[in-house]
Amino acid sequence: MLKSIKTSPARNAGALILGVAMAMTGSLAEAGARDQAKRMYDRIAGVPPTQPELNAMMAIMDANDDDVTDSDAAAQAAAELALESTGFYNVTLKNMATPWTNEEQTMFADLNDFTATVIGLVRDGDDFRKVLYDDVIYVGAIGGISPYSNDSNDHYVELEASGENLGDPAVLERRAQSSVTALDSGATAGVMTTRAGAKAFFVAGTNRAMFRFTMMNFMCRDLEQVQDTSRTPDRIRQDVSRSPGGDSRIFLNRCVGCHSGMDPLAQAFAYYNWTGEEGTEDGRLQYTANSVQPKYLINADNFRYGYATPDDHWDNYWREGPNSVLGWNATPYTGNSGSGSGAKSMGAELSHSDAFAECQAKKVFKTVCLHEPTTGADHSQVSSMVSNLEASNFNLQTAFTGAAAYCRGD
Amino acid sequence: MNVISKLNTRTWLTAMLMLAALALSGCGGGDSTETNAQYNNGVGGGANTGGVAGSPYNGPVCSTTEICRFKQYFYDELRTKDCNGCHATDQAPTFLNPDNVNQAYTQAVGRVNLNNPSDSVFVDYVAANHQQACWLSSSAACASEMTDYIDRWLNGVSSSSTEIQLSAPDEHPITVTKQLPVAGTANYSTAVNAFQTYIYPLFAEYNCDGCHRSDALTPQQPYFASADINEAYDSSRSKIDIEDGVQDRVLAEALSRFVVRQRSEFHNCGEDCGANAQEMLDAIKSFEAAIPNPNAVPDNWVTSRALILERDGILASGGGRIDTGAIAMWEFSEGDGALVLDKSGVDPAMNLDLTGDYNWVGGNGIQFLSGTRAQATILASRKLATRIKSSNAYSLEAWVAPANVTQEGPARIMTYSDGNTSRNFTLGQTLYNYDFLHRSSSTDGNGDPALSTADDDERLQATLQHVVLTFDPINGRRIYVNGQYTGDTDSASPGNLSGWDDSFVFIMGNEATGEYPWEGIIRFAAVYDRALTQDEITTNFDAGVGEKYFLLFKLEQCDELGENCEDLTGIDDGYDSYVVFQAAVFDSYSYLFSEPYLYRIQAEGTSTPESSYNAIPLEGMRIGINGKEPAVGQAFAKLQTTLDSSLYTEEAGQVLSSIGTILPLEGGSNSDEFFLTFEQIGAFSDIRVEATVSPVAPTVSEQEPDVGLRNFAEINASMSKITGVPVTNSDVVSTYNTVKQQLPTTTSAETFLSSHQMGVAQMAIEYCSALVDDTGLRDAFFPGFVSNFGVGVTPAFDTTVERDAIINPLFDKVVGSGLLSQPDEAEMKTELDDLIVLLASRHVGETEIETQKIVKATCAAALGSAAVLVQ
Repeated sequence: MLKSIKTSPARNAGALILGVAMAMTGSLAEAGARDQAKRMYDRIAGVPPTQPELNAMMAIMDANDDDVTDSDAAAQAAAELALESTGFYNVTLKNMATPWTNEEQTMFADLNDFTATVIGLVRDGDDFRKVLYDDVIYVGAIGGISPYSNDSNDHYVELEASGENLGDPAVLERRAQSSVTALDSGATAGVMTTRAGAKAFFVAGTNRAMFRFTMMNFMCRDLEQVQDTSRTPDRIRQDVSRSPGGDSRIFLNRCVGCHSGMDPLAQAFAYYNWTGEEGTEDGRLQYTANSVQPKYLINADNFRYGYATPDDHWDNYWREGPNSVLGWNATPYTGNSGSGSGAKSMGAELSHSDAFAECQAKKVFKTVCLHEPTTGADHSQVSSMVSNLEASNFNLQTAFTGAAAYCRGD
Repeated sequence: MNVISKLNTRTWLTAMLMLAALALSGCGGGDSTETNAQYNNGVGGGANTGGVAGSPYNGPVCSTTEICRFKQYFYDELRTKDCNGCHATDQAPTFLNPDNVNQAYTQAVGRVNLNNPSDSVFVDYVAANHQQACWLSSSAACASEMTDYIDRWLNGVSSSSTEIQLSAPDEHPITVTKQLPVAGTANYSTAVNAFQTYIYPLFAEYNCDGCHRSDALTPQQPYFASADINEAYDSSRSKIDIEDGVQDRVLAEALSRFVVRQRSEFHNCGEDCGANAQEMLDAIKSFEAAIPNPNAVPDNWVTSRALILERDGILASGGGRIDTGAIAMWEFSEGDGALVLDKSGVDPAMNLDLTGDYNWVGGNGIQFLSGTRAQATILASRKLATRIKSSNAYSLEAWVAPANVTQEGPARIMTYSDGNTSRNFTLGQTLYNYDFLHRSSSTDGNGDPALSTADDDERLQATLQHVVLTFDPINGRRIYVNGQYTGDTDSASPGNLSGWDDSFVFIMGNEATGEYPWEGIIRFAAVYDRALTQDEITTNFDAGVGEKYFLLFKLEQCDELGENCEDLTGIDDGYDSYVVFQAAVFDSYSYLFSEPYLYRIQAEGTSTPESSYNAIPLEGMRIGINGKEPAVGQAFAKLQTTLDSSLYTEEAGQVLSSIGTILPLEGGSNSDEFFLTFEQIGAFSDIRVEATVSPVAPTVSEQEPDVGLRNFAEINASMSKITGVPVTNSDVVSTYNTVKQQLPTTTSAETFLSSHQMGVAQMAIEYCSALVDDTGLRDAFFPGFVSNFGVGVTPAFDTTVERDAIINPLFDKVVGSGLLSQPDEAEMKTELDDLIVLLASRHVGETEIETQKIVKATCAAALGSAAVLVQ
């Protein structure tokens, strides 16, 4: 029966394309409050609202029923209804976070403990800065799926396949990461020490990948944007050639710009490793307390006068110079010192920066408005979202509703 | 020189020298190199021209050990050269006095730099081909040989007493000197413009551009006449001595190579040499005048005294290498010309002729560009086959920096061969691997099977590496990289070398056919007629490559007149304090400064004992060059330590840091002047506070489209929500997994493709099919059509009411009512109605199965439309 439909594509395609054309024509019309409500819902939940859902939003944002939104605040309040949609958790947040969990930055990846933890923190309105340092993980609470394992992602694959609403605490529950993974509580650092995070960024190499991708995903800056050749290069490891191909200008003009700041920060990961091989699913996070991983000491003969990592003490050289504009603030672990030991305090150093807050606002803006902030008004909106994040103790839900209200249309 | 009263060595040096002392007997000066037992009291293979070769010395015997070394290694060598034509009796200084070597010594000793033989007057003269006295085809090679003569005179050729004496250098204030700007610095474009105005036009006038540019018929490095003005300027920098302008030198004293080449060497200038040289000198002076003067050192800086590497550095020569058994050795220290000398001392010398494009590299070395070749003669190469066949063992040692990890072939680094398929040995590169091909009774004539480092190990890196290949009849072939045996085992049994062909030729950088070029830098290479041991290889790796110096920065600050000096540490006990760096030219573009330590030397004329001290702060140390602090490479800027006599030892001073850094090279190691600055030392402070940086306002651009597409997951979830079919439906899951990556991945409408629409259509059909096939779901979705699902096509759709029972629920749930941004309700419903009527007309009289299909098709048309796809 089904096949008979699939074998007549021409007929159906004609009807479909017709539908597309009609829809595009419709989109040119001026949008009223109801259209604005639909767009807000669409953008937050990723799925269209039902008529009752739309009516409920209208009741909040268009109290006098004149198809004109009463106020920005009313619109934002109405947008909160979309946060209750399954789609917000299972689709929007999952899609937003999934590219952060792999080097290819692909969305086509299974749910994992990294994405689940991002989803959970947003759902519970928790301080989103904890994503980089807290002893937290979100795991499935439904029956019929494999238990959480340090050696496999099956638990999350099966949780996703169940189609259950990840916005429901009875489906996705918050736990202490250390109690689930048996990692020392002091060694936990939010998503960076989840299985998926470790598999993607602690595998092989030198652990600089974890730093680089954390910068990209949570500070919205690749190393190109933070390079500064004027920082002291005393912590650049021995494995970095000072004369690549026999030409030290490359090091002095390029390499040093990133490594001088990155290496002293990435030292925080000196005790972490992924045991599996690159490109395979097998392996688990390894943490060797007080013992530097061999990967930190490889290729020592590339420059024997380079820095030999003795421990996981990190320093943030970027608190001075051009990267001071990233807005470094005091953290619960290090105060304003800009140095500490281990991934937890370094994660807090990053997540308490102004750049972190701005990055989350921009990512949400892009997710909801479907484009980067470009105009002066867009940038003002991002600033406003940053202020609201700070005022709400970094509840990321405020960013979603704020962006939705801003991008609801004319 | 102020020879210090106590002997000082660095810790590493001490350890290194103990090794040498164990291995050696005999006593000499400071050079720690274990020498080749086959040394023949002479280096190089150049012809001895002029002089009085064979004329015996009949004067008084040398009166001291030093003078005896002078006679053996310097006096006797030069008496066979053209120098003897004037400086024996006719012209002062008579350092080759044939009647009395002791008097000759007194004439010569004041003309050598005891710390650094290469900085001696004798070397300068032969380098400039003074009176055309150079006895080789390259004046740079002559300078290199002269340096060796002086080195052996001063330090001997066999040493176990290898201490390097740290002595107080002459005291120099910081001079802010004018330098030729390098690319990336402030006045670079000014310099290039001035060069283009004053100097560059002369190259065409003198027909230099007939050769010295890459696109010439017979291109000849350096390309200072390049059509690219920046390349031309960069290539000219080392040929211009800016002091010719600064000091307003007259023609006879000018040192710019562009001038010397014509004035003294008559290089392709015929009868115009003198006039051309003067014109070039004038142009260089005009060029110099156009370059802005540098700024003075800020008053608030806390600075040390200043040093120039070659002038003031104490050469840590040799560095503990073990060269025993070397039958060919190249140090690449000539620095110019087209000849690389074999320094092994084993005749015949395998000097290498350079052809093709190449660059001499700072700190000793040749950069092999594509097609460069350094080749010995067949005759000279023969000694390799002769000696190695006799010993049935050998080693190849090299310090190399491969240009990349993509060349293969293997690309020939060093080869002793006859063509592409016939060789005695080859050191090659294949991507990340070193290859060792060699001919033996167990391999073929091409050296196969080769021994290569394992792919996964990625031993070869595009950075400076020490690589040693060894062969002996017990262990066969082995490869060592950076002092470590790689563990790669030879698949061939050791065999013997009796089949080696002595008609092959030794080449670096290519195969004899020119078909397997290797790109990279070679800074040292040697061939031994024995297999080096692991310990020896480790020793040679630890010794490093290139000339290293100790720089002693005196911690003293004086007024502008160089008077009223104050010891920065504030320790007042008759000792002077120094920060000592190990320094070297790292490559053509930078210096290496490493492992600084505090060292204290008793001042002349004092005899008080060294006092105790502690808690003297030393913080924020930076290295200055030519009156300024480079922004990059200041690895000691965060140094925070205190000077404490309890941490001080006679051997190692007080270690300040164990790391090193590289700093950009400006004028060269014979002119760049270094000094140290401190943020805090003793009572002196100059705390640096970085300026606040203001955030840059975000870039404002045009408004982006505010509508977009739903992405793959949103489409799936949306269709599920609209139809009520769960995303876990097995048919849906199957189709979704098939088309997921065909659906839109981004929300940008501009990225929409027709293939996306095909994927959307399949998803819509699957959801609508699942919807209609599920009685409960379809009855809930189409409540007005419940009874019609079971009847044939014609009765099911023959009224408007029946068709609306399909169309209205679809519109309400897929499109939504009351939305101006969605398709017009009347138009869409009409289209859907037309579709149903059309389909029904084609299936008149058919059963309820076709009825359900028509509902599915109508549903899919709506669900797969832009009403869902666009958000």
